[in-house]
Amino acid sequence: MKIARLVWGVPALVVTLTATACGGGGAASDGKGSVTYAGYGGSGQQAISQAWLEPFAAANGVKVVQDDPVTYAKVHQMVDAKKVTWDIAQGGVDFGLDDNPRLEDIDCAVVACDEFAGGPFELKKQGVPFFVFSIVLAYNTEKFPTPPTSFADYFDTKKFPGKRAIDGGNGMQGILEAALLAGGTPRDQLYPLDVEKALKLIEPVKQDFIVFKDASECINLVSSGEAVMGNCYNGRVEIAKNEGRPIDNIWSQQIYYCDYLFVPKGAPNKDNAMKLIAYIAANANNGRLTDYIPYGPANPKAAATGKYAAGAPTGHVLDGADAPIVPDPGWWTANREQTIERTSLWLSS
Amino acid sequence: MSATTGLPPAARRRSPLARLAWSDYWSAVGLPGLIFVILAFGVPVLVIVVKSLTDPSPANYSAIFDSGIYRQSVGNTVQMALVVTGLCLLLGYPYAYVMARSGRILRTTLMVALMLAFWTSLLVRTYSWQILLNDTGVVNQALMEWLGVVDEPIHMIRTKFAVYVGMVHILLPYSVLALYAQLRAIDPDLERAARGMGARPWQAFWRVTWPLSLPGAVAGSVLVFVLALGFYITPQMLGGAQNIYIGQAIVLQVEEFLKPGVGAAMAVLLFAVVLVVLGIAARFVGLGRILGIGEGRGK
Repeated sequence: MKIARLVWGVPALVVTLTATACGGGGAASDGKGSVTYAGYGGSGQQAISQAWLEPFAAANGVKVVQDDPVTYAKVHQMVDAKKVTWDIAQGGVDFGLDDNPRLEDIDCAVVACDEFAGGPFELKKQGVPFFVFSIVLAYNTEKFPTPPTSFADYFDTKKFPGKRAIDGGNGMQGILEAALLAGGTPRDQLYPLDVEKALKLIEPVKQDFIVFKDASECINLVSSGEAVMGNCYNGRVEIAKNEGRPIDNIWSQQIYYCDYLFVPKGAPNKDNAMKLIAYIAANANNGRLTDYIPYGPANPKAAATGKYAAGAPTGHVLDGADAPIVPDPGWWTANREQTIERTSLWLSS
Repeated sequence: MSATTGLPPAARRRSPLARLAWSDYWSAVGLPGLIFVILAFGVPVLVIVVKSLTDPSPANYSAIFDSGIYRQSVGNTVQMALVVTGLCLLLGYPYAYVMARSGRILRTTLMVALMLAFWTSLLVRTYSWQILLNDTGVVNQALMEWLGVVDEPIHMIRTKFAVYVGMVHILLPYSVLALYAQLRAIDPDLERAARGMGARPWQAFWRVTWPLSLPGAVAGSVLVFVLALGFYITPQMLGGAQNIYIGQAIVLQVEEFLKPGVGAAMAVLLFAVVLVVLGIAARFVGLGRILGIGEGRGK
């Protein structure tokens, strides 16, 4: 949840207002009902709205209402109170999308479930993957004309002196994996994750960490030179780069994530929700997000052709030691809480 | 504040029954406010207490102490609240003293300066400190480029120091106002009398004014301490991830661990601690003085 929330950032009011305006005036209700979509707001939701929600509303005559920000806690509370207002919620696989009692099952008669076989992220019983983003090693281009080559350089302050911006939330997911890889753990033996070993490996550079809590801080820290490297979201690096700020990223060991769509139990417009999910996931539509933001399609049969396609993580999947790091959802769902506790205490000691 | 001041002369001569009717009349005027407070504050507090006991069970209270983050946040929070309280007293006392003893123009200036800070949105002030205290912020630029005192930026943002600065800025007015009310109530003639009988200025202050001002100092400090305990936004924005306070620990339970019951139990515990602190302080200086609604005890 944290991850996805950070991707979308905070400035959500505009989207909500736009959404309300669209819902109130536009191609709305000619009797096909409505569907409420809850995302993370900000530029991400704006892109989702332009790529999918508005075209779906126009094509089907279904009114699409938007809300934000989505939080797992809110989904829990509205389902438990039996007052569900969201028909579709966006989030990560860590919400539990297999046998979550608070979610509806995906209707594979409506959604083209079989298209996801062999894709980077598997379709879950209760969730459909719909776009891929990543956390990348970003660096300040003025400090290092020769860029770092992997996360091993991120943890090597002798070779690349300077502060490191690091996301302190979410149990340092991905960073722990990167540390173990840098320390020589074979890829296929990463899980179960040895958290203590990972923390010991990065202990020597701990005093060089600048721990941030919000994704926008990462970009500011690295591009201002306050930190020389950071683990930032790929979309935000791309935007900052296009603005001419001295920041770029490498694609080696990008920490690979995917956002899912799911339907809270008892959603009032479940049928429309499945239709909208089917629309977003369809191979003809799923790549369209790259028209607006550098996040790639999750449907392996979809093509990314938009103007941001070159910056999407899906176009930069490297091999061997440089391959993406995909945090294991099974391990993380089971160990999330204690890992967050452990890493928070480690950071503060 | 006597109960009869609001009554017309005729009512005072009437029977106790009529007097009651008059006070009921005034109670009725306050009724909408009372209902609002009950609905907007009393009911939610009750809901939280119920949630802490039933979602899923009272075991929430023992679960609190299983969290290492929580244990650490309690220590951090108490330490922060104590430091902030101390700084507010240290900075606020002289300010309030000058305000209480100065002429009208200076007093008004000091009061306006204080209130301008007080009325400015907490968010605006916190964001401003974020910008000021950055490594590339105004303070560091001044130190490095204009004054040349340091070569490297001094790291201030995301430290306890930044939290203290922001918190003191926001809470100082509470402490100054409580002290000012107390100091104004001390007759300047008392100090003059002490001087007249041969006390040096500092003796007159230390043996006359200071003891008399203590209730105000305690009241202001308790208020600052209690407010600091529950602060969320300012420590969140100015402190680093290394400094976790109770507010963040509660948010972590609710938002990240999806355990609203444990979060509620933490909130209830904090509320109880605040009530205990207020209760103890009230025994010494009176609750009215702390809350700024009367003289309270101990004048």
